[in-house]
Amino acid sequence: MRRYLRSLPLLATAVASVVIAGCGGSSSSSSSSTSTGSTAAKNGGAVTVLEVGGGVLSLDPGYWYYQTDYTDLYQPTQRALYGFTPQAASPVPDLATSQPILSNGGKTLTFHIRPGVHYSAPLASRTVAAADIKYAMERCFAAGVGNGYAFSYFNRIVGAPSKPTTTVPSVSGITAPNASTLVITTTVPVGVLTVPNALALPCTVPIPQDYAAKYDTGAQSTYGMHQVFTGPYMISGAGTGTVPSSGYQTGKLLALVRNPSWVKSTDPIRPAHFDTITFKGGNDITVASQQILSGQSLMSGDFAAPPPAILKQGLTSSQKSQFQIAPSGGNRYIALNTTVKPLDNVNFRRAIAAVLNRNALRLTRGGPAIGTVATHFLPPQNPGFQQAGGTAGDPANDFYANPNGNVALAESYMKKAGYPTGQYTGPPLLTIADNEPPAANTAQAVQSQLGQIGIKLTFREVPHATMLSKYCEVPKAAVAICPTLGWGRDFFDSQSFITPLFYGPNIIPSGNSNMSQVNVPALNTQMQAAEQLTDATQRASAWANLDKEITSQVYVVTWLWDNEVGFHSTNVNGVQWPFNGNDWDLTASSLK
Amino acid sequence: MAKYIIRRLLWVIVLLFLVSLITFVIFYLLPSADPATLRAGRQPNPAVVAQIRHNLGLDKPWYTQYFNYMKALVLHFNFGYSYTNNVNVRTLIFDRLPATISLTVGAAILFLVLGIGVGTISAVRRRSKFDRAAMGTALVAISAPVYWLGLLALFVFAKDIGKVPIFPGASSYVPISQSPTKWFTSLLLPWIVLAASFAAIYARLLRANLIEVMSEDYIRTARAKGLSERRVIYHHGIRSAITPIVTAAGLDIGVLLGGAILTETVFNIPGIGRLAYDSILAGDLPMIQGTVLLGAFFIVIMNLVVDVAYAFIDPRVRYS
Amino acid sequence: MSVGSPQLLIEAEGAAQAGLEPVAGEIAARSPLELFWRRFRGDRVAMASLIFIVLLILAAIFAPVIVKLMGVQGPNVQNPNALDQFGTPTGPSLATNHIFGVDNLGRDVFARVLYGARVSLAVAFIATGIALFIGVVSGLFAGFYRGKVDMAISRFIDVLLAFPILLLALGLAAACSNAAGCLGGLIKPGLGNVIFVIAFVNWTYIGRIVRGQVLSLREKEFIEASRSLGASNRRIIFKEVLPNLVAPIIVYATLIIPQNILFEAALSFLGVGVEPPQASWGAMLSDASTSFSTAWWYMVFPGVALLLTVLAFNLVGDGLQDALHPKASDS
Repeated sequence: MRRYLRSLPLLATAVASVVIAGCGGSSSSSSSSTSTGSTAAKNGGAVTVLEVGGGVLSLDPGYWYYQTDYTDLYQPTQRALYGFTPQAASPVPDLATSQPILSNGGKTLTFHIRPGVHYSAPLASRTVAAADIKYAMERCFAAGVGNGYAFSYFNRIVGAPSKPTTTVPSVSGITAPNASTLVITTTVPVGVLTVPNALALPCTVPIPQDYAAKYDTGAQSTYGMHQVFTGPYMISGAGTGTVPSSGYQTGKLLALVRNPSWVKSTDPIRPAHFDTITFKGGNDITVASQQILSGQSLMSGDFAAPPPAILKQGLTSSQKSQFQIAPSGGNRYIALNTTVKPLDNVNFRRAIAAVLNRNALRLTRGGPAIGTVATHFLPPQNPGFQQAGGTAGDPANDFYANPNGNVALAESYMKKAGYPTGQYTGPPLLTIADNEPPAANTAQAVQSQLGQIGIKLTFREVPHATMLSKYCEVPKAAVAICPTLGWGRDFFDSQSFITPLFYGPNIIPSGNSNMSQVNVPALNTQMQAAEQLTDATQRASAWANLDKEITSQVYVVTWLWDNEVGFHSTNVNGVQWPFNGNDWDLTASSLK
Repeated sequence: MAKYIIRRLLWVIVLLFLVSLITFVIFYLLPSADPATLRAGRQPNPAVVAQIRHNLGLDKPWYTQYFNYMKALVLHFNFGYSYTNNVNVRTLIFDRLPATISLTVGAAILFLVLGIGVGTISAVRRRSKFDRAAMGTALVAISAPVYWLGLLALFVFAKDIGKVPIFPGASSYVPISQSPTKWFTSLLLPWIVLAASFAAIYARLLRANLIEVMSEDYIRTARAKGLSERRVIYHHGIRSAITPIVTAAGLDIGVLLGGAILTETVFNIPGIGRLAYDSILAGDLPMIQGTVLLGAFFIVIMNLVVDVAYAFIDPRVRYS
Repeated sequence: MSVGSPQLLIEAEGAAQAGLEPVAGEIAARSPLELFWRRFRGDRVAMASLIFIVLLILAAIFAPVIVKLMGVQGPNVQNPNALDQFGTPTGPSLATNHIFGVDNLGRDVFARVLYGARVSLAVAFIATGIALFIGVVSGLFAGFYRGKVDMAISRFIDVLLAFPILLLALGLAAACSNAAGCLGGLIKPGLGNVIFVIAFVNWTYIGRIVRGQVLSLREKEFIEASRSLGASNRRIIFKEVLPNLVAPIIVYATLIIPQNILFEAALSFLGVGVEPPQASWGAMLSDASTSFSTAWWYMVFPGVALLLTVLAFNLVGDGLQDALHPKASDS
């Protein structure tokens, strides 16, 4: 039955085994199939993407933050100030005409807006103006939109609210002096704006204020159901101004057709080969995987990898060419709550890191095909990865030296932690894990391995949504170990990897991502300084140093650098999108 | 009779009220997920979470929340909005209902025909090879878990993974409006699996009852009167023996209409059962309320239907 | 069979009606108990099933010993070497000492099937026992004292019976799966939770049936006779009513036990049963459902174990019913 559990909880599953909102990077797709876009891409045709979860969480561009949102809606149907092509390692101008023009020591950023970009019906005669992007960014501060990153990345814009507002605020630091110019002023230089990574996020998708304002009143914005599109595709039937059920049914269906208002010559990012793209949600993962491999015109959706049995069958047969495996730029880790004894003792944490058999953990998800055993926190393709130790890791971290685990070493760390026999003798540690495979299997493997140094767990498996919203993300719940967690970057900059998880002031009473509850003043200061660096090389070094410290302190046990295993039918040419964890770029993919 | 029905209907309403109250208490006091945090997206600002909690009305005391819920339900037939995806509960439920009804009605027809048929033949030809084989199979059918039978059936017969690919596999359900043929073929295997265990029960039950009835005096009288054996069995015998079957079938159908969770799960049919199950796991209180109320409604209504039908079938029963 | 189907009510009522004749009056050479046992013993199928159940109970109790004797690894020991490079499990083979194969964490299926029997049997007897106790007590009170007591109990039962049973059980189990448990920590997640939930949803059926029996018993002459002799209510309940309920109670038990075994398996299958890594047949089936197309052993063996156990209980139940009330016209 758990096989079907995966296909159901709409909110939960979208987050389930998929690393959250991956982000741009170099397209070093170590794929075993045709390389991205080098075969003649056929124009036209229809493709269906089979999804296991409920698909997108919201139609509102201001809400999009998850990998599925980006793949299904963001890239195909909307354009933003900046974007990422499958080959880009840094943001590429989309609605902006160039990289930001900096002045005032990097605190003023000026953008010119590309002319002649039309909205879809019912605003087909209108073109994108700077004021529309201003409004879009402002509404990301409103509680009714529910945006999850505005306060992390836009908080230093002059006049930005410090907490969510009940109505869409007016932010003085974002101005549109004329229709084709946008100016953003910040209080200090912000690295993720000067290299406009944060401006490639959907908050800069243009939204005309006079059209949208009526939907943005009330407790929850309804703009998503009435949005206008700027991308090559739009939701089927939405030209009337309202998304019909033939175009979108929550959890079941999302149908995209070509947007007649989109002009290819204005769009440097999206080739847009398909004629229609249909997303079907709520499928069973095994059945869907089989259908994709043996059918036609199908692609894998929101699952990071097929079940191990299918993976094996696929990779050991001629179906191998239908797979594309590339690092997702994300990792999987086990959070150790440093406020729960004895996890406040660094040697105890190192003992845990030493005893875990990371190869066996990886086997629960499908073995070497689904990822690389991790030796430090930052995954490959993130700036600072090499400086932090690369693939081999820092030799000083002997607890990560043996990927099969090292019980003797673990016991020696236990002795240093104050357990003279090398075995744990304290009370059981509260551990909350995901109850769906493969995460459930990973958790049970962790439980079994920790038993080798005598660590007993109060072990509970709960649904994914419960694990996060009631336990692991709630400091008051005082959960000692959360073994089934993963993280992905927001964009090609390691700030989004480290700050949410290890910055002290980021600890909040619910929805907390800093599950280890790390609040070390020296580290906090170090992170603040790193955030303000504007030079790419300096940033890489700074965040690498933070990675080294975090890894050495074992606030979390990082055990895997994830791969995204995408696969498709034989007549499909899938192009992976490193910006989004190597999920598909459906505007670059095509039929063969 | 009319007064009886009216009295029963009033009691139905009271029952449903009580069911909704108990459901509310169970899931409110012991929720399994926090809807405000779920809604707030990734890394939410605490103020955002508080705002959402206020929007959802979750910061009010439980009796106020319950009262608001019932008010919306009774006055506007509004079941509220799902916590997890802001969809109208009523819309989603009525969206999923056809799948469950399809599954139930098809299975019901199958198990009634099969159960009554096999039971009758077994009773009439008792101790024959057919009887032994049928009763043996029935025993196995009621002893095996329905989801296991479903998995086995898929393992053997499913087109995509089965050894003898005849039937469409799991996840192939389409609504009848989309393609009647595909709808029909996708439901064949679930119907058979679901009907199997019920048919077994009814076959056993009917057999036992029919044997008992056939030994009664009035049957002997009928035979003595010179009626054909066929007429004796079908007209007199079954008519008496069938009343418990009618009762049971009615009640079972009531339960199934509320969602056959296990079958819908194994075959991935998007019905009410799976919806209820998901919402329980996600702690989606309005959806839980909606599905539980719907299930309870079917159960008590079928109870009433069965009781009334009893009065027509069995002339010995009269209601005042 | 649909878990917790009201079907039970009908069968049980029918069977109970039959077994309710107060055994009095006739001069018999043997006591009723002896007669009953003779009839049961003569039923070969029922006896075989009874022996199977006894063996199963022994196997469950002595599981650790059996596992050690056979040299099989324990039920919770994970052996990654039994998995291939994709993490898929190897099948049954005598060479690797995994006669039923391994599951996807490398645990031995045979050992887990053996230990899984403990869970099924514990639920069968304990949960049913609790449900019977509560049901009988409530049914007795309702049927005997009538009036307000009866109203209250009956109405309460009505409300509970209106719930879709699996949903109610799911909801309770899910709600009590919090780390803290229910009833102030009395009901911990895991086996205790399952037993509590099953007992909670079961007693209502029994209560209603017992109430019906007590109601009809009440009107019988021997009760009236006792009363006119001046017997107290308590005496009547314990000396006259209860003994005549024993036969029906046994009948209900035999019908409910296999149902509850399936119920626990269903709850575990749906993920709200016993806590991992404890082995339960239902949980094993759930784990197997992702890979059964390639790793059939993990689905087949627990399923067969469930089937045989429930079948055995059903056959014993049938045998008991036949022995208690032999139908002259039956085979």
